[in-house]
Amino acid sequence: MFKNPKRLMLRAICWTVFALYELRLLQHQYQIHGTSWHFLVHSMIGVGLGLSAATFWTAHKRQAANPWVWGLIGQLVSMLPDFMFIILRMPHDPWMDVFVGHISIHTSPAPLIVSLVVFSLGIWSWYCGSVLKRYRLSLTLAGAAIILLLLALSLHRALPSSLHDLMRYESFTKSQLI
Amino acid sequence: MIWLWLWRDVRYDGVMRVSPTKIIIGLTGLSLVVQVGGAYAVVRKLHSLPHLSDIALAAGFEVAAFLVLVPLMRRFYSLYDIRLKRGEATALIFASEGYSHVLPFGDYIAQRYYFGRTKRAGGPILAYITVLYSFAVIALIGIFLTCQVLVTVLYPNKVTSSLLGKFALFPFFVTGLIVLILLTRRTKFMRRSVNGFFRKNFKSRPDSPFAIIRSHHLTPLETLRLLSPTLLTWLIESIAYYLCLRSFGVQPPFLLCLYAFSFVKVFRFIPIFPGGVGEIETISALLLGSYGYPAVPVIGGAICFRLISYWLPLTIGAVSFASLTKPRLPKLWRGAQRRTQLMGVILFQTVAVLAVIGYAATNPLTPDHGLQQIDALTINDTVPIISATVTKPTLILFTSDSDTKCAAQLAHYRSVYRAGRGLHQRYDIRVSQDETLASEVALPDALRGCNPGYALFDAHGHIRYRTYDPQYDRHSDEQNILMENLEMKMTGDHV
Repeated sequence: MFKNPKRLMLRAICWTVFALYELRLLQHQYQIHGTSWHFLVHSMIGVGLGLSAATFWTAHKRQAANPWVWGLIGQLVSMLPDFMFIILRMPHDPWMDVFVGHISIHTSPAPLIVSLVVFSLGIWSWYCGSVLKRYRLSLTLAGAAIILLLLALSLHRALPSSLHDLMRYESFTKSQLI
Repeated sequence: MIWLWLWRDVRYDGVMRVSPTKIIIGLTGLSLVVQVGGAYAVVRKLHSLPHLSDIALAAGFEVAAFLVLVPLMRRFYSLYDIRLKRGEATALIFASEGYSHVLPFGDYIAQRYYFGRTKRAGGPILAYITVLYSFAVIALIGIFLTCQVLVTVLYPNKVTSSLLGKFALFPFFVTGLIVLILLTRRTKFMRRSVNGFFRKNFKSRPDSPFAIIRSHHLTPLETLRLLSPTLLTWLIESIAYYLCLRSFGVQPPFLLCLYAFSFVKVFRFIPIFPGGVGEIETISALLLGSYGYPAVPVIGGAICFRLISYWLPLTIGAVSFASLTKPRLPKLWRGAQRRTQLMGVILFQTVAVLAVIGYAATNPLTPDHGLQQIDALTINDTVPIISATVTKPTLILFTSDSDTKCAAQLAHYRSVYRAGRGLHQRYDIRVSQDETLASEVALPDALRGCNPGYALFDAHGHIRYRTYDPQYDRHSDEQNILMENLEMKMTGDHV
C-alpha cells in the first residue's frame, strides 16, 4: 500500500503523535477527578478488545485492519459510561456492564494486571494477524484476551448494597495491592 | 548472584583467569540492578508520577545527540578517502557509541570489525577515535568552565546556607585540580615521570588533546567543522538531562542544569566506581542540592537520564550493529512497513507496562481503587444517627481532628465546597469529626489523616454513596451529579 518508506514513516509518526496526544488528553481528564486508575483499566481493556475484534475481522476478511481505528473504537466503547456520567449526568449502574464489563471489572480480581494482559494480547494478536499474516496464532491470542476478561468478570464481587457489605469488601481489597 | 557467577571460574593456580566478557557483562548487569533498584526506591518516595512526555522528549534528544556526530564521522573519514553512506555512518555511530558504553574501546572494536568486513583500511579508525575524544574533552571542559563563571556571576545567592551548600565549592576544587595538572604537566620532572609511566605500562607516549589535534594538521575551518558537532552533542545531551529532571518536577534554570551536567561528565573521567555506577546520581543530587533543589526528585531525574543515556544507545547500537553485519534480517524486522509497525507495537506495549508499574509504585496502599469513584448509587442503608436530622440531600465531609480544630476551619471547608463549581446551594453540607459516625458510614480512614472522605445521604437519611476526595473539592462535579439523581429519584417516588 505504501511503497515509499518516507511516506510510511510520516504516516506512522502522525498516527503515533495523535494517539499519544489523545491518550494524554483523556488521562488528564481522568486525573483531574483523581481517577487515574480507572483511566488505565478502561483504556487498556478497550484498546485490547478493540484490537482483538480487529483480529477476528482480519481473519475473516483476510485483509489488514487499521489498528488506530479499531483501538480507538474499543477504547471509546469501554469508556462510554464515564462519558455518559460527565455529559449526560447519568450515575453508573450495573447494566453498564454491556460496555465490556465497565462496572464488574472494578471488583474483579487484580483488575490492573488483567487489563494489561488483555491489552498486550490484543496488540500482539493484531500484529500477528494484520502484519505477519499468522492467522491461527493471532486468533489464539485474541481469543485468550477475551477468555481472560470473561474469566475475570465472572469472578467479580457484587457491588455493595449496604454498609456491612462495604466494610466486608474493603477488608478484602486492602489485602490486594493492585 | 552476579558476583558468584562472575568469580565461579577464577582459578588460583598462580594466574587468575577470568573472562573479560564475563566481567563486562557482570558490571553491566550490576549497573542495571543498581539503576532499577534505585529507580524503584526513588519512585516509591515520589508523590506524583514523572511526566512521560518529558521522558519521551529526552529520549528523542539523546538520539539526536548521536545523530549530530554523523557528519563529523563522514567528514573525518573522507579526509582519509573513505566514503561512508549516510545510513551506514548513522548505524556505525550508534553501534560504536553503544558498544563503547559497555566495552573499553568498544567503539574501536565495532568499527574495526565493520571496516574489516567491508574491506576498508582500518588505519584511520584510531585517529578518528582519538580526535573525536580530544574534541569532546576540549568542548566539555570549555562548557564546564564557561558555565562555572556564568553561574557564579548570575546566581551568587542561590547556594543554600546549610552544610549541603558547601558542596557548591567542589566544582571549583576540580577546576583547580585541572589547572594544576595542566601546569605541572609542563615541568620537566612531571613530563619525564608521566612519559616513563606510559612507556613502561602501555608502550606508548601520552599526548594532550591539543597535541593530538595539532598532529593532524587540520585547517582552522576543518577544526571548527569537527569541534562544532561535539559541542552540539554535549548541549543536546544536556537538554535531555534537563528534561529528565523536569519530568520529576525539578525545574532549575537551564544554565545551572548545563553546569551540573558538564560537571557530572567531567567527574566521570575519574573512575571511582565500576561503570560509573551512582556517580551521575550522587553528583547531581549533591550539586543541585547545594542550590536548594530537593534530593529525591533530582536522583529520580538522574536515574532516568542514566537509563536513557546508557540503555537507549546500547539497544539502538545492538540493533544497528546487527543490521550492519547480518546479511538477512529476521522476518519480524524485514521491510520498512513491518519494521515501523513492530516499532509502534513495542512503543505502545512499553508505555502500557511503564504506566502500570508507575501507578503501582506510587499508589501501593490507597484504599479500594476499584470501589472508589465508581459513582454508582448502589448503597441504600439507614444510619440511625443521621436519619432524624436530614431533610434534603446532604453531603457529610469527614476530616481529621487535627485539621479542624476551630469553628473557623469548619467554615473554611464549607466555603471551599461551596466555592466555584462546588456543591449546589440547595443541598446541605456538614463537616464531621465524629469517630462513631465515621465508623458507621465506613469512613474511619478519613479521620486518620488519609484523604478527606465524604458520604451522600438522600432526603430520607439513607446513605447512598461514600468515597474519598483526592483533594478538597476535587469531586464537586460528581457530588452534584449524584445529588441531582438522588433528588430526581425522590421527586419521582413522591409523584
